[in-house]
Parts: sequence; C-alpha cells; structure tokens
Amino acid sequence: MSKERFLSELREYLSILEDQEQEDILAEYAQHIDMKMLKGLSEEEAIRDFGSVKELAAEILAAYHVDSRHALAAGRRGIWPVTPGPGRSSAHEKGLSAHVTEEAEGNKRPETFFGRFCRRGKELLLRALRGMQAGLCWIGRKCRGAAAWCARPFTGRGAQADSLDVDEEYAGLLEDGERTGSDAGAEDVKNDKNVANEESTRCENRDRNVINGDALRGKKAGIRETKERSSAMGGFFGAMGRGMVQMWQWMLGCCIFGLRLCWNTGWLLFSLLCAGIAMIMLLGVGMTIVLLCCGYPFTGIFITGLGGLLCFGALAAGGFGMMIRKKRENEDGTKGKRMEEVHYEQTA
Amino acid sequence: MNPQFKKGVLELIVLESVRRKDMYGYELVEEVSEVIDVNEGTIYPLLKRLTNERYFETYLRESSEGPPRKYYHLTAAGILYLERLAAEWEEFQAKVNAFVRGSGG
Repeated sequence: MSKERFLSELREYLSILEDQEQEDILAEYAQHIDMKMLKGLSEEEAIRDFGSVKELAAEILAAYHVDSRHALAAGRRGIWPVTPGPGRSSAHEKGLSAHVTEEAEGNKRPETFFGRFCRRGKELLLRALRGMQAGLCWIGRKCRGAAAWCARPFTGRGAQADSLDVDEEYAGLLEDGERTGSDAGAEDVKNDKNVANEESTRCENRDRNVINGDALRGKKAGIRETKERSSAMGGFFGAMGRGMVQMWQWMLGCCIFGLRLCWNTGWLLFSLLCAGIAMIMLLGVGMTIVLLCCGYPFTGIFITGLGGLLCFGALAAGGFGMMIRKKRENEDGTKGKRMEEVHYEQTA
Repeated sequence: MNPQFKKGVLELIVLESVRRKDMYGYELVEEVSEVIDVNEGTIYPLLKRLTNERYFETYLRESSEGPPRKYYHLTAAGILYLERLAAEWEEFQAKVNAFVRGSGG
C-alpha cells in the first residue's frame, strides 16, 4: 500500500472527526512514514508496521471515546465531526460514549412541534385579522362612495371634479413614499375632501404625520380651496360616511385589543404557573443538593428536579415570549413623526 | 510478551518517557519499542488520548531533517496521573510477585 492510499483510507475512516483533528493525525502518521523511509525502509514496509488501517482507525477513534463499530461506518458516510474536550476524561473514566457536537451538519436542532404549531397559529390569526381589517376598510370605502354619490347633486359637478382631481393627486403623494401612517389614517385623509373647514384643519394636522416637505404645502392649499367649495349637504354625508368608517375602525380596534388581551392573559397565566412550578423545583433542587452533600442517595430526585426546573423555566420563558408586544420600530417611528410635527409647526 | 500485559503498561511507559524529556512521536515510538514490542500505530492514538485529556501538551519545534516536529510535554496533571499510575503499578506488581513467589515456594 502506498503512503497516499494509506492516508486517504485512514482519512476516510476518521472523517467523523473534525477536519483539524484529521489533519493533525494524518500529518503525524505521514511524518512517521517519512522518517522510517529516511532510515532506509521502503514505503510499504513503513506502512505495514501500522497493521490494518481499520483497526488503527478504531484505536484512534477510541482515543476520542467514539464507539468504533458505529463510528467507522458513520465516518465512511461523513457525518458528525467530533471535537476533543477537557470534559472527555471524566466521560472516558466512566465509560460513557462520546459527546458529539450539535453544530454538525445534518444534526441541526429542528423547530419543535409546539413552537411550529404556535407560530403557525399566530400567523393564521394575524392573517385573519388583517383580512377582516381589509374587508371592513373596503366596506367603509363603499359607504363613503355611496355618501359622496348621494351628496353629488348638492355639491355641484365641477367642484366635485376638481375635488376628485386634487384628491387623486393627494393619494398619489401618499403612495409616493411619504406614507408612513396606517391605511386607516390614509383613508381618513382621503375622506376629508367633502368636509368643512374645521375638519379640514384637523385633517391637516393629521396629514403632517404622513406627508412632509414644502411640496406638500402647495397641494394642501389647493385641497383647502376645494374643500371650501363643498356644500353643507356634502359635508353632512361625508361626515356620516367618515363617522361610519371610524366606527368600523373603532370596532375592529376593540376586537384586536380584546383578542390581544385574551391571548396575552392566557400566556401570562400559563407563564406564571410555569414560573411558580420552576421556583418550587429550584427549591427542591437546592434541598437535594444539600442532602446529596450529606450523603443521602438523592441523585435521581436531584436530576428529576433539575430537569423539571429547566423544563418549566423554559416553558415560562416561552410563554412570556408568546405574548404580543408593540414593536419598538413603531414606537420610534411615532416618536420621529411627533418630532417632525413639532418642527413643522415651528416652521409654519 | 502477553499483549494484555503490554496494553496495561503502555500508558505508564509513554508517560514516564515523556516525563524524562519532551519527545516527538517517532522518537517516542522508538523509545517505547526498546522496552516492549508494540505496534507503532497504537502509540499515536494513545498520545492523542493523553493530549485530549490534558496530560500532554504539544508544541512544534523546527527540525534540520524535515518539517517541524510536534513535541509532547507532560503537564502538571500528567505528572500527577503518572505518579498515581506508578503507585498502582508498584502495588499491583508487588502483590502479583508476592503471590507468584509464594505459590512457587
């Protein structure tokens, strides 16, 4: 057998080990063969002294506390690299099998069924709520359209057409990138086209959160002029439509709040229960440690308690994690918009 | 020599050899082979195990004859382990000798 073949065969058997370890071992054997050849032996003679490659690999793997019967086969398949560690000595003394690194390819920890179920449920619930919100917004839009249609004979076609033109432009601005508020807010802004001046002023204040820049001011002036032309009847129907939309939105908000409250309360209670059990387990573990130190045979109870502590601790943490919280980005965004509003008012 | 005997004392011989002076793999194999006839392949896994268990530490030293060589050095933990093994060996061989001589006499 040639040196290359010997080394490649050995590498194949040791492929269960980490690359660095493999290189380390192979370099040592290669150097040994080279030194024997320097002393006058042939390559084959130098390798023959090592005996069977498989047995040699089994001995090397035994040095890593790896069960050679399985490891040699696994090594051939190239799975689970093994790292040496200081904790191995005790494991070896107790005759335990090797610890295998979890980061190994093909051995990544999968998502648990419970976690997947919760995530999927959460996604579906959020999707359903979004669908409901979209549906209600659509109904609101239709109501506003009907109100506008009813008000049309009283408002005059020209004024209405102008108003619609400006409104379309306004909507275009909103969609062009300065749109940071919610869809409901934007709907409110669009709906303000038929209301009176006071409402228009309020709309402006709201608009400042959504649209910024000097370019907006000119548009707003135009919109204000159009709105001034709206009749009192149009304002009434518009206000009615707007009120309906606000009611829908309020109801939707209440639904979402209620659902969130129920969800969070459920998880909070669950987490508190788990945390309470974990605390009891912690107490038990502490007591068993003391008793173990005194020589009582409570190893089993200690391990059970420790397992329970970890388990319920994890459940409590998981329960807290399942609670829905407002995102920080939104808070920051709101704060930023408030700052912008203040700045705008100062400059205006 | 009975291979079971060799297996038992190989670790002690390797540890004692490295205690005397730091050695590289091939040098150690030659040293051990002078005491007991052993398969060369078995020394390296043993060295690797003792290194993994922190009884040895390794370092590279340049060589005029080729690439740098990996030298093995006995750590404090290794010295304690060697002393324990040596004591066990003394006790063991004393008892076995006493038994064998007693039964022979």
